[in-house]
Amino acid sequence: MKEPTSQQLDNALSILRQNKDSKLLTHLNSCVHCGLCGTSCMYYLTTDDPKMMPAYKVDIVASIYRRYCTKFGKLFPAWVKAREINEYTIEEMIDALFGSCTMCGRCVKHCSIGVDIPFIVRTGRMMLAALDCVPDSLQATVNAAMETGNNMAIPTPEFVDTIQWMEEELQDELNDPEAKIPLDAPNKRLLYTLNPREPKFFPLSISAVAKIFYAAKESWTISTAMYDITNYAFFSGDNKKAGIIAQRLKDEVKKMGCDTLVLGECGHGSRAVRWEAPNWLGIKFDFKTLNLVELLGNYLREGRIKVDKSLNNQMFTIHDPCNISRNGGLVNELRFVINQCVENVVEMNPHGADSFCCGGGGGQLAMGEYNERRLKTGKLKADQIKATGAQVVITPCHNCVDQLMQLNATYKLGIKIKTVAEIVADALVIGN
Amino acid sequence: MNYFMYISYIALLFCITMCVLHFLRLVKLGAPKDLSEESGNVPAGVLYSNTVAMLPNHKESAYMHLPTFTAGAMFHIGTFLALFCFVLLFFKAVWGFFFQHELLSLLVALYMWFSVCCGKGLIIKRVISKKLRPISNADDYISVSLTALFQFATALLFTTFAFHDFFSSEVPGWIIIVYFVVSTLLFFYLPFGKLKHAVYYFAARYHLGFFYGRRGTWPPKSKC
Ligand code: SF4
Ligand code: SF4
Repeated sequence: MKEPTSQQLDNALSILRQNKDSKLLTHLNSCVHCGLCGTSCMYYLTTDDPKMMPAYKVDIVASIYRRYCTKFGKLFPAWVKAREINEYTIEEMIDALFGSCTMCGRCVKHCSIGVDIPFIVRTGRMMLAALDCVPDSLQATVNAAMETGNNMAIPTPEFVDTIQWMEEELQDELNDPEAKIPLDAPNKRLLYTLNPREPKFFPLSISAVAKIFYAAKESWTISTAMYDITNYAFFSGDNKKAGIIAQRLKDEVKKMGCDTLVLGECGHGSRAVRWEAPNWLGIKFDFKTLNLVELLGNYLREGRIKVDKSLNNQMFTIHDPCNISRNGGLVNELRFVINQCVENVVEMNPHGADSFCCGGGGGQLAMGEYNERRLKTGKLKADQIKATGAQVVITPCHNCVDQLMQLNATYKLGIKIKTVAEIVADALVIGN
Repeated sequence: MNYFMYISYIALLFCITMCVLHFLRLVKLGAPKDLSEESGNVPAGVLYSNTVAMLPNHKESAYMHLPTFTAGAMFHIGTFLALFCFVLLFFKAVWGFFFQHELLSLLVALYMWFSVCCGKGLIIKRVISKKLRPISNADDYISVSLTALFQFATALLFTTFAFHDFFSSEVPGWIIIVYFVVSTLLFFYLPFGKLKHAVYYFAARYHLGFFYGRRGTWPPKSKC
């Protein structure tokens, strides 16, 4: 680890000194160090290490704030444990803020004060980005998106091939040569986005969505230039790059002449576009953004699709992606859609806004250096799933799907993992 | 005696001024200017954050840690009661206005002794808990100790008030001096250490309600 340059230090500290509103100042000064948040965080629960407590993660950032931004901390640093930014602090920050937090926000609603822990963690990540200390693996994912337009660097011909293959599958399944997955079709109502894991590893989830759009007689398209909903710069703490990625998506909606941007099954991507991007870009979107779960809910309410829940007759459980349920307000909408499409649902305990993260959020799946820890923290979710006795776990996030599949293999759960689109597609009644 | 008393009133004035300044700074910075499309209701979220979401059965920090939570809650009530008593004594000193009741004084004193025990318990927990050590600093110990001392001094004073007239010559002078010295230290210290959460707590609850209210997570909708 190199000592930061004075320019890098200034940039990092300017993040703590920014005063666009009272949120940062509030949360940097609120923690009373009661330590009662530990038992709300999967990292602490699965390691019993005090350094995994949410309060510790907050304090690392707050201690730097005290050292450089408060008179008391400048005069009596030892008194309030005010820390200098140096190699040792940076190393601790990387491990605590990148390696030990998925920014799931579960601790926030249980904190005795109401400290927004992931907000402070992300502030710390922004400082690390300014210090050029983002873990290489995560940075590589951001760079791939910046350079190629998607975080897995899938070449466009490969993507087009996959979509065409899925289109043929769809036509066979529906026995209709007019069933399409429209690429780059202008002036459609919806621009659909997806997680690059779908064309790479789970192409069937694309044909599931296409089947639903076919049944709903939807006017839609996918852009070959900008289909990636993910935004790993949200996790790396680089607002500039996050803004560039978001701007591209916004421009694509305009270029394609669509009314609505549909946020496909990716928790953080959905959050980044829906809730964060307007603030990175400093504008209000002049088009609508809808999470796929909301769109499916609308279809079901409006009767645009018909489903038969007896077609999904196994025992199901729901995994709430943190950025869609707790941080996205879709706890009930998710259940509305699923309850229309499956016969038996058994909830995990706890679930909904209280749900535990799968352990793969916050960019953890992109950071191979923390794999062992990620699977260890995931044990909590694995135990929850096991306790339900369900055969299938439904989740509207491909990042969660990936982590759940790894938990399935590691903890021998013997379950299937499906996305919401797949479940809805399986229950569809088309024709007659 | 007057000298100590007046210094403590100056300290209280200083403390209030500093807290108001902290508060005004937050007000000046204002609410988040969020440009995303709201899908919930911020006022309802803020209301929920400051009411139902604070109930012990809604927070793991409360229902999973009942002894600590209860001790903390009792200790906070003790602090507010001690501050209330301090203000009453101020009225007595400045305007001679006071309502004296031996039994009430005794009850206040008894609660204060109980609250001091709660505070002591919290300090001991911080000292012995391996979990709390990495997140603790000198300010944590000083802040709780000063508050507990303030309650201790109040307890001492009101125990004597249960048997003697306020500030009569029968009340030992040293008790009154200790009371005002400890009060002075607490009021001068409060705006700098973690005790300033007296102001920031409300701001944190506001922001929490703003965040979850705007996104439609709070207040929770009835089940579909
Ligand atoms: S529960 Fe909240 S106030 Fe208490 S230590 Fe944790 S973050 Fe800080
Ligand atoms: S945001 Fe989630 S992972 Fe991070 S400290 Fe809080 S509970 Fe733990």
